Formats: sequence, C-alpha cells, structure tokens
Amino acid sequence: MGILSFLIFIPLISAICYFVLLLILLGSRNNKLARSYIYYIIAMIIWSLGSFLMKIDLNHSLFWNRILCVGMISVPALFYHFTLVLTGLTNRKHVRNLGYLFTLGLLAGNFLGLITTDAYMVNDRFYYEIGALAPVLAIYSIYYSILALSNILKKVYTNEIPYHRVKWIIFGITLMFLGGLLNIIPTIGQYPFDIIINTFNAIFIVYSIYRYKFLEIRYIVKRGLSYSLYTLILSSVYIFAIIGFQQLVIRKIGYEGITPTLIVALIIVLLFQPFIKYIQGFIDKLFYRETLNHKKTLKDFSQVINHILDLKDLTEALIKTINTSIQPKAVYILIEQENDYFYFYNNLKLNNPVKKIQLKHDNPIIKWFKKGETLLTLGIIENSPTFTGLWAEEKQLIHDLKAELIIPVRHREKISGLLILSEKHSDEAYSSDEIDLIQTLVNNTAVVVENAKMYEIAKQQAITDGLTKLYNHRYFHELLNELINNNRYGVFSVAMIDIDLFKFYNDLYGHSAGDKALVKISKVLKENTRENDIVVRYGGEEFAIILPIIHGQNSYKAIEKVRKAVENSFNRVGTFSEFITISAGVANYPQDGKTVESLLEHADQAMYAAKQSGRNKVILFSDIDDDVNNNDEQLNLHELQNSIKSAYLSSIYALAATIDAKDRYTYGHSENVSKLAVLLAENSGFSEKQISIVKNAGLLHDVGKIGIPETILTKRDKLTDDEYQVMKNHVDIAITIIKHVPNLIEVIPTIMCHHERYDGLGYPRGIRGEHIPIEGRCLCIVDAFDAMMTDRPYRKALKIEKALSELKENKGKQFDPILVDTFVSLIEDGKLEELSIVNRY
Amino acid sequence: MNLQEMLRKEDYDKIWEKYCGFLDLNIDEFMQIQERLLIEQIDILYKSKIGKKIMGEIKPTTLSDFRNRVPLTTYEDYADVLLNQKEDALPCKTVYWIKTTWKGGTQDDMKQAPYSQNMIDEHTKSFIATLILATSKKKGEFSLRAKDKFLYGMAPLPYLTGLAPYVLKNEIEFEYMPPIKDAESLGFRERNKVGFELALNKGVDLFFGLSSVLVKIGEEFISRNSTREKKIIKPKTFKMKMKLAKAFIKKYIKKQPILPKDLFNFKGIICAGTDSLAFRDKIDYYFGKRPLEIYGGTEITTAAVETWGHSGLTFFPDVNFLEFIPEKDSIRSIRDKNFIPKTLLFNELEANQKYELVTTKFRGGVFVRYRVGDMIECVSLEDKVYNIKLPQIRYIDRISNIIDLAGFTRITETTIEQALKLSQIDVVNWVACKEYDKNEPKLHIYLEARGNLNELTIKQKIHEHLKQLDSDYLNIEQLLGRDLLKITLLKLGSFENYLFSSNSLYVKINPSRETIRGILASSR
Repeated sequence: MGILSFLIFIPLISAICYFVLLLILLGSRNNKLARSYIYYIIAMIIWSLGSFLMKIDLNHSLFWNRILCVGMISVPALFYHFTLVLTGLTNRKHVRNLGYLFTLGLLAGNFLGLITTDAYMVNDRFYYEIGALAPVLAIYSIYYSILALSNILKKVYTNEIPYHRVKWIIFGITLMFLGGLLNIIPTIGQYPFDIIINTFNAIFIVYSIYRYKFLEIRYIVKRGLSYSLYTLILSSVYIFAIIGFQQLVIRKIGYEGITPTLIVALIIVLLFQPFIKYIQGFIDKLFYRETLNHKKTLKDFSQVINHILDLKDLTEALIKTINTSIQPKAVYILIEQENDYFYFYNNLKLNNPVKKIQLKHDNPIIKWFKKGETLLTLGIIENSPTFTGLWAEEKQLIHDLKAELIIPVRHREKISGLLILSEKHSDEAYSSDEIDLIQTLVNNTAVVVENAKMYEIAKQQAITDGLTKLYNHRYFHELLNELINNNRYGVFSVAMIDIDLFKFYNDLYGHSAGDKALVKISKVLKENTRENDIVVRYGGEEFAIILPIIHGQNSYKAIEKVRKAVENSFNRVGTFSEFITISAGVANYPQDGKTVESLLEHADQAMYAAKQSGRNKVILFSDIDDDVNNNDEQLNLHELQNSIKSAYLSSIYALAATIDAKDRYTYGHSENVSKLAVLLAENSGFSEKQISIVKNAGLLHDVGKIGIPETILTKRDKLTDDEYQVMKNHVDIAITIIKHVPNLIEVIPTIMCHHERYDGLGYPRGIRGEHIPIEGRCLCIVDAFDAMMTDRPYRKALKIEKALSELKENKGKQFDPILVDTFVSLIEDGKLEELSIVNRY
Repeated sequence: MNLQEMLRKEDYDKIWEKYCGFLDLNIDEFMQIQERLLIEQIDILYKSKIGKKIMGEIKPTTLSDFRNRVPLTTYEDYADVLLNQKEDALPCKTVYWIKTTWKGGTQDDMKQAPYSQNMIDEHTKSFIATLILATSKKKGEFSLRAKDKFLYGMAPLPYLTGLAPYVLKNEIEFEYMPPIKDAESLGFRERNKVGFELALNKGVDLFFGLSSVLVKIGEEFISRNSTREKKIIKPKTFKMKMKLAKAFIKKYIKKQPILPKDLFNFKGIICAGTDSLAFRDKIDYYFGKRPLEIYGGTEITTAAVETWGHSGLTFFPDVNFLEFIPEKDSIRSIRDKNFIPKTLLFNELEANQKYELVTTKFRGGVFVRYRVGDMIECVSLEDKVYNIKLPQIRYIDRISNIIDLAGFTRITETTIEQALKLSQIDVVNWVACKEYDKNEPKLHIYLEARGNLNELTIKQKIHEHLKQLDSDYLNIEQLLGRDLLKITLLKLGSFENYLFSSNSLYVKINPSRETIRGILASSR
C-alpha cells in the first residue's frame, strides 16, 4: 500500500468531519442560515463519501465517481445560497436560481456520462477520464466561488459585516477556489487536495459560526464537537503512523505479519502520550479558551478584592478586571445610595453626561431584578413588554450607554447595585461563558460591595454633619489644610456664612423649625454652588464654602448669588413670613491669607463686617481693607444708612398711628399698648433690652393691619369666620413690613406672638406656655386690656374692674398667670393714672 | 434591529414578544405601565404652555392628584393652540400634523393633532402588532413577511390612516397596491379600484381599510360576475394563474358563483370603522377571512386591537392613559353640562358595561383627560379561552349625541336641523337614531310634519340635502352605493302626546329605545 493508498482515508476523515458539523448544525437553532448550511454540508458528505467509496469499491468506481460528482456539482450553488443568507442579500436570487438550474443540468449531464466517462485504479493510482461537461463544471464552480466571495466582501466593504467576523469564511472560500484550480492540474488533481481544502473551509465556517454567534450552538453539541475533534486528530495521527510503519516494514523487510505493527502501535501510543496533553490543550484553547482565561481572572480578582475595603477601589478593581477579561467598550457601575436611588458610582468616562442620571426603585429595570432575575440584555429590554413602561429619557440612557448587558449586584435578596456593560470591542455577542464569569465576579463582589458601602457610609458620616448632610467642621479643616499644603488649586476662596438673627428665628418658630431652616439653607447652598465647591456646616448657624479656582470679584459674585438665593427662597414661603437671610465674609487664598488660620480669621472679619453693616450682605475681606483706608467714606456711609433707617422707622410709626386713627375706637391703641407693656415689663424683671423690645413692639404690633381691607377693619358688627381669617393675617403682614428695618428685627418674635394664647389656642402658630416669648405674653395681656377698655360699635368699654376680672378669669388660658397677677396688682395699685393713656378711661 | 431584519433572522418568538407581548400582561402589570408613563407624560406636558393651560399651575405628582385636579377636556380646550399650529405651546417638536373631520367646530371643520417622534414610534409599534395579529391564527404564530402585497384602502396623509406606510418604511418593506406615491394622487374610489385591479393580477396578502369598503368590493365582484361584464384579468404570478384556473373551473364546470376568496388568499384583513362588527360576517363570506378590528383615532392613535380569537379588543398599555365614564354618567353629562362625571380606571371596569372613553396621550401628546367621544363596552374582564388576562372591549359607537355611519360620516343634531330646514318641510318635531337593519347601520329619522308630503318624498328631500350639507354622507352613496337613511313619518301630535303621557323630556339624537317605542305608540 503506497502513500496514495492511505490517502484514500482523507475523504473518509473529511466525511467524518462533515458528519460532526452536521451534528452541530442540527443541534443549533433551526433557521434559514442553519438550513442553508446543512444542505451544503450534505453535499460535501456526498462528495467525500463518494470519493472514499470510489477508491474502496473498485468494482463500482465509476458509479461512486458519479455520486461524488453529485456532491461536487451541488456545492457551488448551495454555498452561494449560504452566503446570500449569511449576508442578507436579497437582490441576487436570480443568480442563485440560475446556479440551481446549472446544477440540475450538470447533474443530468453527470448521469449521462458527460462529466466523467470512466474511473479506475491502476497500480494504487487512481485514474478518471473526464467528459465534455467537466470543463464547464470547473468554470461554473470557480465562478460561483468567486460570486460567493464577492457577496461577503461586498458586505465587509460597506461595513455592514465586520471583517473579523467573516475573515475565516473569506479565507475558507479562497482556499476552496484554489482547491478548484488545483484540480485542473491532473498530476495534483489525482490527490484529494480539493477535499482536504473543502474540509478546512467547512471547519473555518463552523468556527466562525460558533465564534461569532451566527448561530446559537447548544452546550452539549459544543462538548461533542470538541471531543470529536480531539478523537479525529488522535485517530488520524495513529492511523497514519501505524499504516506508514506497516508499509515501511513490508517494503524494507517484506514481513506482512501484524505483530510488529501492534508493538509499534503500542510504542507510538506511549510515545505520543505527552503530546495528547498538548492536543487537548489546543482543542480546549480553541473551544474553551475563554473558560481557561476566566479561571485565572477569577483567581486574580478574588486575591485583589480580599484586600479592598474602599468602594472606589473596589469598583475600579471590578471594572479593570472586566475590561481585561471581557473587553467591553464601557463598564458602568450603579450603586444604591441612601435615598433609594441608584447612581452611577464610577465609570471610565467621567465626562460622560449620562453619569448624572439615576434610576429609582420603581424603574422597570430595578423591578426586573427584584423579581429574582439574574441578567438583563438589551434584547430583553427592547422586546419584553415588562419594559414598555420605560420613559423616553431612560430609553435614551440605555441607548447612550450602549448597554448590552446588565447584571445585578445582589446581596442576599437586596439589589445593592447594577453593573452595565456596553458592547464588546470586538462587536461579538457576549458568550454564556463570559456572562458566567461576570456573574461570578459580581457575586464575589457583592458582599465586599456591601461592606465597602458600610465603610463608605461610616467614612462619610465621620465627615458629614448629621442634620444638613453637608461636610462638617472637621472635614473642612482637613481639606483646607490639604489645599494649602499641596497648593492643589493655586487660588481659591473661603466664605464664612452666618444666618442673620437665627436666635430670633428659633425663638419665634421653635427649634424644630430652626432645624428645618438649617436643612433648607443647606439645600439652597448646595443648589447654588458649583459641583466642585465644598459646602460645610461649620457649626450652629454658621456655614462655610470653599470655592476652588476662583478669586476676587468672582468669589464675591458667587457668594452674592448664594445670598440672594437664600433670601428669595425664604421670601417665597407662603404660610409664614419667614425672614431668614445670611451674611457672608469672603477671603481669598493666597492674597488674603496663606495659612488656614489667617484665611479663616479674615473671612470671619469680613463676615462680622457684613453683620455690622446691616446684615444680609456679602463682604470681601479685601474690601474691608479699602474701607479701613477710607474711614471718612465709611463714616459718611454709616451716617447715611442711619438716616435712612431713621426715616424708615418714622414712617412705620406714623403708619401704625394712622391705622389706629382710622376709627375713633382704636385711636391711640398702639401708643397705649406700648406704655402699658413697658409698665408691666419694668415690674416683671425684664432687662433693659426686653423693655425696649416691648416698647417698640407695642407701637408696631398692629402695623400689619395696613394690609387688611378697610371693610373688615372698621366693621361695626362682629366679624364672620372668613373675615376673622383675613384679619389674622395682620400678624404676618406686620412682620413682612418690619423685617426690612434692620434694627427692628428683634421685635418680630414679640409681634409674632401677641395673639398666641397661653393654652396654645392662639394664632398664628398655636404655640403655648413658655414656648411663647415672654415679651409676646406681656404684649398679649396689655393689648387685650386696652381693647377691653375701648368702646366698640357693638359694646361699650368695660369698666376697669370688669376688665381686670376678665384677665384673671383667663389666667392660664389666654394669659400668662404670673404676668396677669403682676399687671392686675399694678392697675389695682393705681399705676394706670401715672401713665398718659390716650382716648381711654 | 428592525422588523424586517428580525423576520430575516426568523426570530419569530422575539418578534411576537416585542410587538404582541402586551397580551401576556396581567392587569396589575398593565396598570403599572399606565401609571409610570402617565407620570412621564405629566412631566413632559407640564413644561409646555398647553400643559399648564390644561393642568393648571401646580403640577400633579401622583395619579390621584392628577385625576382630582385636572379637568376632563374636549377638543375645544385645545382648538386655539392646535388649529393655529402654535408649536411654541406644545411639549414636543411636531413631526406630523394629523387631521380629521370635526363637526363640533364653529368655524373649522377639521381637527388637528400634533404627532411627536416618540408618538410616531409608538404608533408604528402598535400598527405592526396589528399586522402581526391580523396574520396570526394562534398565539405566537403569524405569517406576516417582508414584501407582502398590501392592498391599502385607507385615506392618505394628513389623515392618521395615511401615516402607516410612511412610518412602516423604516421597519418593513411592503408592496403597496397601488404604490403610495400613486395612491396619494388618486381619489378614494379610484384608489380602491386601482388597488383591487392590481390585487387581481398580482395576488394580495394584506388589506387595511374600512369594512364597508371591503363589503362593497365583494358585492361589486359578484355583480360584475353575474352581469358578465368583461374585465380582462392578466395574472402576473403563477399562483394567481392557478387561482384563476380554479375559479374558471368553479364557475364554468361546477357552475358555482365565484367569490373574491376564490382569487384571493388574504393573510390578514384589518378593518377600522364604526360598523366593523356589523360587516364582518359579510367580509368573512366574500373573502374567506375574518377581519381584525382595530380601534383608534386622530387624538388617540392606535388604541386597541382585536386578537386571533376575535373575542374582543385589547388596549395597548403604552399608547394612552385610560379612564372610563360609566354610560349613565356619560349620558347625564351630555344632557346636564354642569354635571362632572367621575372616571374609572382600566382595572375598575365591569364586564358587560358600557363606558365613554377618556384618554391622556402618552409620549409627548397634548390631549389630557380627553373625552374622545367614543363609547366602548367591556365584554369580559379577561379572555379565558385565549388566556389574555386583560379586559376585552368592543367599540360600540360614538357618544350618543353623534350618529356615525359606516365609518364615513358623523351626523349631528345641527346637520339634521339644517337638512330639514333646507328641504322646506314643515317639521313639527323629530328624533333621530342609529339602528341596524340586517346588520346594516341606518340613520333613522322619526318625524312629524304638517302638509301632505308622503314618507318617500320627505326621505328624498332630506337625503338630497344631507348630501349637499355633508360630503361624507354623499360618499356613502357614491362609494358604497348604499342608502342608509330611513324615515318614519309620525302622525301629527305624536310628540305632544308622548310628552303628555310620559311626562319626560327626550334628546333629539339617539334617544333611548323606550322613548322611540313611546313616540311610536303615541303615533298609533
């Protein structure tokens, strides 16, 4: 048996290969592509088996040759058809149909003996005589191979199919074309090169189909394929080695027994044993290359994350690992944060605007995972009705991210984050092995993420103010030190901010409202500063802001914007006339101070200057210096301000008096209340400042009535409920007027409370007992007393005794009991006569 | 990936899930989608002038907030902005202005609605779902394919029905008959005629049109056969040649009449129009395929679709936010303008009850809590046979103050009043309602008139003037060859007697059956 004789096994091996391929295709999804390729493979099987049997069954060589030709004739049109389906070309069906027509003609010609006229074996050498149609077949085959190739190249050229996805198919077709050409040379044509080449072509195609997911191949078939290839390689090596040795023994020694062959076979098997590992390795690499890499990836990642506690480091490690092992174009991690939103924690493109987008818990994507799903692909999002409820903005986000795959970071039953992967650099689909790897990586990460989140929260809490969630005093100092020591920004500004008269606000609205105001201010500060500005609660009612890379007038403008925002946001509140404003001082690094201490001291100085010059303003430290240098100007300014205040004050007093004078009943009321309040205050141990407050408050307490319709104000009958509600507004209106006079702000709490009752049934806030400022309780008594002593359209003025008895009766109900006792005894002691009370008694 | 690519890849399961997957939703999932998209829509709309005008200055944040605060609206609320195409008042950029006839307007007889890109995408999706369902015999199986031959009998742009061929272009290629460019230059009758001739020669897979038109085509086909009118059919495909041969055998050898179904093998027939239900048996008889009914309109796009079981229509969850006014409240609100009816949600419907539909358009539409003017009936709360766990509905008719005839025209009280006036009949009183006579819709006017005119003369006069006043009414005669008017002349004093005996008032359009019976009894 010469070399040619064992070459006859080549077609057999090819046929086995094709059977394996057929198996794979039958195991894949049945669609057009699979079907068209199956027909091609069947034709190749007929070709190979025909070739093998032609050389084995020598009595019927011609018959088998014609069977071989059936395969050979069918292949070009079938392969062309396959490329049409693969490329999605629909306008070349006529070429395909023409090919099938040719095939039919050639098949007829084949059985009429027009392709081969005879086929026989002489001296181990196979001969066949070609018929008239053989050249036509050759030309037709080559022509259709070229057409098939052009179908694919066209799609590659127009970028509709990436080159790398079809490179093996292109290579295979080129080989097929060359194989066809080789057949033209009779000396080579007698060898089964064409079959070898076609077998390689088929393997290339199936590899492309598998590798680039043209078809979904079931796992079991994949395993089968790998084992088949392994067996095929080993068998081929053994068969060729043993037959070759046997031939050598026969030729050289003339011994035809089987013993030496068996011994040699055993030796070959033993000698070949070390290589088996390599063959297995090669096949594993071919089919499970990713799996092998994945094992290593997992091992490395486990080692890395064991040492990480920081969330940022952890997400970076995860992203890095996924980038290295899977090579997606982008990876994004969303981490659930305290307020139940999922935010982009980290991604490779920090400038990407999509990082600002967040997902809520009711988002269909989050809900999908809450149902226990472990994976979400773009295909599911696009096709499943579950995602019908996605907003256009969310769909756009998925589109912008090119999100191909979403995997939850799940800790126990809770979704603590999401990993979003865009498509791969290679444009290939994610394989199930890769998805397994990502899921394993994420699962390994989940616990660590949860720990890191806790650590992060703890770290964050240490530098965060509990109430306002702004950075705290400690972090502020650390950061400021770092900025100065490392000269991180070159220039920056520090603003010290203090809430104006916050003590009064607390007195007026209570500490709970004060806390709410602090939270609200914090929000306003955050909203009105830049992303990189650091907003800090410095302590109490003091805030600080670090403004990187900004100085001079720009820092002034930035903080002035904040001041206006605070003023406007509190002015806009409808229920109460809140009057919160801020004063701020700004110092710039380095010109206003090169150390933390000097910078803060100068910012503080500027803030105090703002306070002293009337509050609700921003002053740059550098401007104070100018002011110091211009003392005269400062003095003039101060005088001017005082004269404006004085004019304003006079106007308000005049206003109050005008209101009293609107009808004869209330004429002189404010003045009387002021005097009575001073009398009570002086005899109740009030401080000088408190006495001054009740005096002014008495004069101004009804100034808000300017905003009440005159019909209600001077109504002779009792007010209806609705009218009474309108009348109650005079307290708020009073405050709206008074808050613009800087030196009068301190009377606001007193005025605000002069209709509050000791038992909590008063208005506007319904506060009770000691919660009502003592000045307010004082005003309440004297206001009621003066009202009782006044004639009303519906009743005459009460006598003093009756009025005092009313006061006593409402002790602890409407009025402060201690103050009532003091006041009653003062009146009973005849102190009233000592006062010049207007229009009464 | 568009539909054509998915079809090429034979991803039939994915196609079904993508377009018809909503049929697998349960009522809770449906409502979740509705609520979520409503919040999105409020957000989009609130940023626009028209949104603030309708919803008020304070933005509703929850579903109940929305229903409590936003009033029910009609086209009049939008007319100023929409009829003047004030783009700056709209929430999104308009890609198409879709128009329809409007009999309620004082000056304009057209309604216009802006369509944003997102709305168009959504409409495309629902229309594809309709095509898939029209060609399906059971869940998950359908025969729609690219390059199907599509006999398109609907009105072209700017009507909604003309939008589909344009928006489908990016998804799937069909062979329209006649081609869209030609169709737009043809009149309604001509378009259907040319389309049908092409279908005879080339074969046809899909039809979309008014059910009344399809019945007319069937009737003409038979009459042409029987009158031996020679029309040369030149079948261009082998399949059509075979069909023609079979039909020839049927007619001349078996001596049986040829029906359109002998020549056509429709994959799917989609019918819109008020009286689809009434015509569908005839369509089945002529064309061998039950039509699939869709429900939609200019303001609401494709809102609901029938399924392969033909047991009711299912609403799309992502096209409109759905609210429903119970029938009695709807009627009351028409009679008493001060009565503000309460609405129910989709999950509050009851089987066998009728409702007036109220919709809020999703995806950047402008209509909010909009009274579409249509009555629907909830036929069942789910389709147990075909496992659709959503309420199944039927389109019943326009709300009771409008009479819709065969999807062609909408007759109002004003139209009839004008026709009576122009015909110079001395009418004492009248009522009109829509009735069905052998499955054909009829406009039935019961009137009392002085003078010696007989019923036939009165009918002719009114018919002539209705044709003058309403070109759509004229089309019924010209295009369908149908006479849908019926007159009953009542004895003088019938209405007075009825009022005296029943002591109840009645409405002129679509009074209750009891009222009609009462008036007829009084006439006797």
